[in-house]
Amino acid sequence: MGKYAGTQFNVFLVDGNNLIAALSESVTMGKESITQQTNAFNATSEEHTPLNLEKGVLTIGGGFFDAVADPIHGAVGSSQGIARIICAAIEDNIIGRHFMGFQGAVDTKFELLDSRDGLVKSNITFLVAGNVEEGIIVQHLTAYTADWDTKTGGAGAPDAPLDYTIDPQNRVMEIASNSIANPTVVTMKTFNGNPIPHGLTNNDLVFFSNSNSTPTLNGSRVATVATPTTFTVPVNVSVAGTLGSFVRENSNAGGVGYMQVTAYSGFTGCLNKIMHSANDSAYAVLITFTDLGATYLPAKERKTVAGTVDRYLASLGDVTGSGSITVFMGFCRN
Amino acid sequence: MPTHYIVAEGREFVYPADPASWKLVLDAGGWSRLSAEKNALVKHKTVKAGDDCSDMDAPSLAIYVERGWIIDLTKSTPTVAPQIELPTEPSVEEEGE
Repeated sequence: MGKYAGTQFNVFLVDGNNLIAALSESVTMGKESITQQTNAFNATSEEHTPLNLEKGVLTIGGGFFDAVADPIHGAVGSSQGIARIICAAIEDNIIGRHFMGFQGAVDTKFELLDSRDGLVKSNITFLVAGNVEEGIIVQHLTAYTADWDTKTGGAGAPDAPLDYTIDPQNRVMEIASNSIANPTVVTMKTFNGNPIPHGLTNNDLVFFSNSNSTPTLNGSRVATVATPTTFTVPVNVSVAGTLGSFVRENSNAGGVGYMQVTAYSGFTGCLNKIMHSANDSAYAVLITFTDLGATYLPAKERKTVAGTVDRYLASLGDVTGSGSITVFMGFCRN
Repeated sequence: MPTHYIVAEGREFVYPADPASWKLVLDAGGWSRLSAEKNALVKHKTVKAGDDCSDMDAPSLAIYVERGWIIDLTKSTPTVAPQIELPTEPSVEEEGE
């Protein structure tokens, strides 16, 4: 896992408010499965039963309290059950890095820390009763003054669509062999004597590397499931392989997109979109967020999408008029 | 070019607009791998639901037709039933009453 410093934590967006400048000492974020202790009175060890519930928790430790420009507390507002959307990224504000998205009723615990010889600080705990997801930054928080498209650059956008095959969240699966056959049968590697399930479904796209069969399987292939630990790919293999690995090229269970707009002026409309592509040539719209129109409000949105999500992701902004926008978008595959 | 393919409801695409643009993208190994100079030469086209997209490159068309995101007019059947008013016949029970 990469190592990240505090200076790289610079995306903390709550309902379109960028709170990063107001933070000071520490932030924690995470999610946990809620369980209930279910052991009997005479048990010698604890037993816990999951309730199939998740809880998200964010804490800000020692945030500066500024009664004049009150960014943290303006965003925190009421303490009970306010529905909020939060995006936080500790791996820097860069396309392709991970972020966490939270949406749901947020209960807030707020403590002021007043000291004799220092600025007044505060501790804030957000308890999120809703969705907690980890995903990838598709559009880093940045300002644009014209249409942009991260797959092709333009308007200062980085030329950086996301490639799922190199996403660290995408698990690399090793194979034990692939047979002499057409189509060749791929058998998964074993762990403690048991073949590892591939987890694929028919017509999933997989990307092979380090294959040593003749011909190799390297590159993009369509998988047809034979058993939970074997599948076929349409390659006519004449010399069997004993090596190789693959990652999934796409996912087929949909996902969730997040958008936060921290500044917006001048434009009379702005459509923010997340695009996806199987081949980095033709791109389809995956998610279109609500048109921002002409009125600026701290804008935030979480949208779900079902079905296939292709290998490449990119962000696209379609603005009307002249002005500027500061926007963040992320996507979490299911 | 005859219209063979149209975009299905709820879908929208951006793709290289002509064979020369697609060749530039293909030769580079993807749109994102184009140099800035070559990227400037690529014409792109945006199509929405109901638009003709017959000029999309064949590999991409094949992917989206299979998923139902693009409709192949040469193979598809009408999704809306013909509006024909059929004569209503009274049921046996009604006749008996």
